[in-house]
Amino acid sequence: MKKADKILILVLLLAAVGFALFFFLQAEKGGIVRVTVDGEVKVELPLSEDTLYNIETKYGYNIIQVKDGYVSIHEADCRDQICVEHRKIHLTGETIVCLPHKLVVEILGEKETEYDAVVR
Amino acid sequence: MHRKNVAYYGLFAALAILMGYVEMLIPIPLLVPGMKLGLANVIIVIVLYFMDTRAAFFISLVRVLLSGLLFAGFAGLLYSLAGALFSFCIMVLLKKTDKFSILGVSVAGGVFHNIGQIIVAALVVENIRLMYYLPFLLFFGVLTGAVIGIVARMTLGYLKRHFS
Repeated sequence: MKKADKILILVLLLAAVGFALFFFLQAEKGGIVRVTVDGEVKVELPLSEDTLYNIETKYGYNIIQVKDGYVSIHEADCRDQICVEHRKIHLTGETIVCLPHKLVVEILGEKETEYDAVVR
Repeated sequence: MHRKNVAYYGLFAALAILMGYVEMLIPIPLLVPGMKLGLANVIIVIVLYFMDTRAAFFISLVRVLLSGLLFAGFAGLLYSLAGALFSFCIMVLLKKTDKFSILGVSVAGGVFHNIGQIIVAALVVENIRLMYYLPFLLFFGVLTGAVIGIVARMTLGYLKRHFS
């Protein structure tokens, strides 16, 4: 292993830790969950209410589950099922992605929704 | 093209496709979209050192196209292609500087493969929040890249002793 190798590995690991800290320090318990398809907001649900919400698009369907303040994808007809197997999320900034359906589930804080409402 | 090279191209391309298949058979918990072991990169790194840049480029391209069509379907092809090209460019650049060993080159390849894929994924879903996964991808990229570099170095030693 050369010196440059060690520097490279160190820099990459530090970058990983840096990004992780950046996201971690920002994260707090989320207020709502937003679902977007093709970058377009489909629905926003409060984390405080347990629900099952079915989203159908031209790509297929994903059933979003909100339970005890956590969000997961209960069922979907996508080919890879990565979104269904994804662990449940609850902190702001966390996402579940279903690439085949171009669907992103993201957790937002309470404040962000008000801000977005003003922008729109 | 030299006759021996034709055989090498075919052999290494087949091995790279095989590695991609083996990787699919290993059930790793998918924490993050785009996370991969990158076993096929073992072959690409070996070719980069055992043959040359041109050979590695063609074999990488053939691997992505064929395994995309064989296993992943056309949609997955875009991600693989972005990842493979991005990682390949970085590996070639680092190798050219002559400051890095095969280990560093492989680590950079692993990391930038993941970064390339997540950039394309973020573009496809039109959501920058995918960058949330970046730290995980960086970390696993370093880990798998290092293991792959070690394997490639061992294999290369054997190849050079017996086949050059």
